[in-house]
Amino acid sequence: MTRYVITGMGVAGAEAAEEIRRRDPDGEITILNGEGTPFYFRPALSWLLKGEITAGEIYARPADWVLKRNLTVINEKAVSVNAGSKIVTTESGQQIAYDKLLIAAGAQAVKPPWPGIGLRGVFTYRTLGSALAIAGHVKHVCAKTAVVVGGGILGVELADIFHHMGLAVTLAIRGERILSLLFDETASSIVSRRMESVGVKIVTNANVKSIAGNDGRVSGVELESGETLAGDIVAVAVGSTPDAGFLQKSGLTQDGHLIVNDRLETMAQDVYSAGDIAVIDTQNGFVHCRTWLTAAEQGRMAGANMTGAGLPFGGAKSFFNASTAFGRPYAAIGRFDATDGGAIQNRVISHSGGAYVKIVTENGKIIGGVCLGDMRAALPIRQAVLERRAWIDDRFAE
Amino acid sequence: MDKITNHGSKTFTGQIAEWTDENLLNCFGADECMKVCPAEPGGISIADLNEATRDTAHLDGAILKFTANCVQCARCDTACPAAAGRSVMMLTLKEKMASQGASPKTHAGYFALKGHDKSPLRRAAWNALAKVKWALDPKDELKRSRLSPHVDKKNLRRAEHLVYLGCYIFTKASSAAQAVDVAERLQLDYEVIGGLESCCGWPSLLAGRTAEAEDYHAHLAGLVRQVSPRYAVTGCAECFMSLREIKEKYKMDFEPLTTPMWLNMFADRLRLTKTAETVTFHDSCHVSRKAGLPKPARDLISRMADIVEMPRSGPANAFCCGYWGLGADLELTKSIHLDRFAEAKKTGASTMVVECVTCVESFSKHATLSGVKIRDALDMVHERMTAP
Repeated sequence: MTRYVITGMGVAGAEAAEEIRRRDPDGEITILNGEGTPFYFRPALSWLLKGEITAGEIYARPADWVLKRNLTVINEKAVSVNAGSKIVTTESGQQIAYDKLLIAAGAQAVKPPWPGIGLRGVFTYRTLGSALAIAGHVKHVCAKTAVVVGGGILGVELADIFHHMGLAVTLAIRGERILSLLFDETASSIVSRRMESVGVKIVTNANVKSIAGNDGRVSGVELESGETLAGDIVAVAVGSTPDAGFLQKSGLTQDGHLIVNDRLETMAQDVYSAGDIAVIDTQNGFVHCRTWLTAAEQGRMAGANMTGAGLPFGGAKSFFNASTAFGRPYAAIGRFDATDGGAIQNRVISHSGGAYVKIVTENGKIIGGVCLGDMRAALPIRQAVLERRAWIDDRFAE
Repeated sequence: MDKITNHGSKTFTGQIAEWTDENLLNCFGADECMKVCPAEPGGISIADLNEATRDTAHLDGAILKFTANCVQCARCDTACPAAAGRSVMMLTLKEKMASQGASPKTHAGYFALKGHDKSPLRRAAWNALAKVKWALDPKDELKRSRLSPHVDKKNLRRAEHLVYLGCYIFTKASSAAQAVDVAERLQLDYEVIGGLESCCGWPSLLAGRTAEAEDYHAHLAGLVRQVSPRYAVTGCAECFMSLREIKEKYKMDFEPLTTPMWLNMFADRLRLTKTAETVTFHDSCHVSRKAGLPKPARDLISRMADIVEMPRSGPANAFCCGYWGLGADLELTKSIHLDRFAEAKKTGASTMVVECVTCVESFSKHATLSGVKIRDALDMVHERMTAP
């Protein structure tokens, strides 16, 4: 009987467990679940905080899933891996032997070393625990104002959540525009105009000097410009970093990165990795794709390969990231902007009434696109990218 | 955005498993699909629904009922912030429902009645009875003259226009006969395909009998090939989607049209007159949302009457007519009808125009309770063409 151990019960770990069980009904599957909560829909945290789904609906599998799939879940983090003796050690000192190991420990939110970052009322946002802590603090201190630092996906999402909770929100971003890694200027401006129309203040070119506070409790954010942004709560969303610290002495990482080949194998035999922690070594360089769908696809593939399938992952089928920003659903698919000019071109399909849809083509073939405010084209664009088609479907052909 | 659609054409065998797999991975539990679903999935969590979709366990209880009720309107697909296609996932559940023999009794009744269960005798009897009824009932004179010669006929000729009626040739509504009559009056080069044998396969698909739906597609493709039309027009939205599907699947060279798209081609010859009447319009889920074609019907109707829109209109908000999973839940059908009629009434219009014969049939069940008149856009055109 093969002993499978999976560190992490996010989407990569859960999908891997699912796939292993499908292919090996008798294998012994142990999951180290450092978060200690059942597998949940991480991208739906904002729906939970906005009260659009219930606490029970955040969980991604029925309550009897662990039992039905015959999984052993240990609510502890792995603290070390010995790939030579094939042993994983947990934080309580428990040593677990494996035949096949999947490292799917995910990533953690970056907490910059700003003065005052440890004040009460300063939060990062990535896990169910952090989401519940934010909601608890808002309620506990009857927060009226919030400062969000970071203009990426989670920064905008946090601003949306606080606005929904009835707080006056200030969003401080380092650059000129929000969601700059996801959207072109047009799409960014649609969302920022929407945010400003509902009262969110966006401060651009904002470099944080320190977090301000009184009596150990946060009161706002001080910028290098001298401006102070008042907030009863401060949420920091300035990126994430792979949670690979526990692998430091394992010999599995290079410069702190856990690198895998196209079969999601690490440099150690029988050790695989998937999800936010993994960096794939491809012909086109290192790829680190931190989206729900990619993590799920990787988890499934790693699970298959742990049972001996030997399947090449070949990179994510296509980059796909989707969520909602201030009531506007959006999806970014594949390449979502043409900055090269020449062979790569933007083609706007529609731009009206707060909706913006465009495709990006390379030599006439669709390689990506953006849907904002109207998701009807998202699936067809994704399909067109996957099939390297020149059109979305026959109705789209001009 | 009218030309942009969801994956409406990705519905049949061979694609369902692949798409379900991908969409399951993509779903991140926002629950938006369930909130907009007209089939009232209250109490079913996404986790449970996904588990039922991926698991081999038998369907039962609320999920089984929900599966039977799903009418593939794709409202869920457009609401999903992850662009995960719930409608395709529901097809997997429907397949499971059928393979487990867990389909509602109404499905068995439907297929027995319509002869889809491949009994030639039953079909022949059904065809004969229909023709007798048309011959005896003076109100069915148009059906007798325009439809009787075409029921499951064997010798099809090549023609520029194919009037495709499928099994809706037998509906109570006059849409099928009117379409043929219009072709005749316009002196078009046309051929007609209609009858149980030329069913588009949609009812089978809705019941989870996917392989059977595929068979119908293949058979229909063969019939269409015999006619080799330039245009294939149908008054049924499900038939329209199937025509599009077989065109793509079998690499055929014809243009699938809804009746309004077809009639708009002859707008000048039809010389439609506009009256002072104000009507409201009910979008077809298939035509407006899935095919992304909300305009043709509106263009046609607005030549005859002013349109006042209901709140739930257009591609994103089009709402099911209550056809449901082949009548799997008649109470639900009634409630959706009454709800929709109330919405129509609020617009001030006394007539709700539709472009799909399934919508006509469905709404007609309870129209008398509401005082709202249901009309096919084709019926409005036909009335003007035949007015003394």
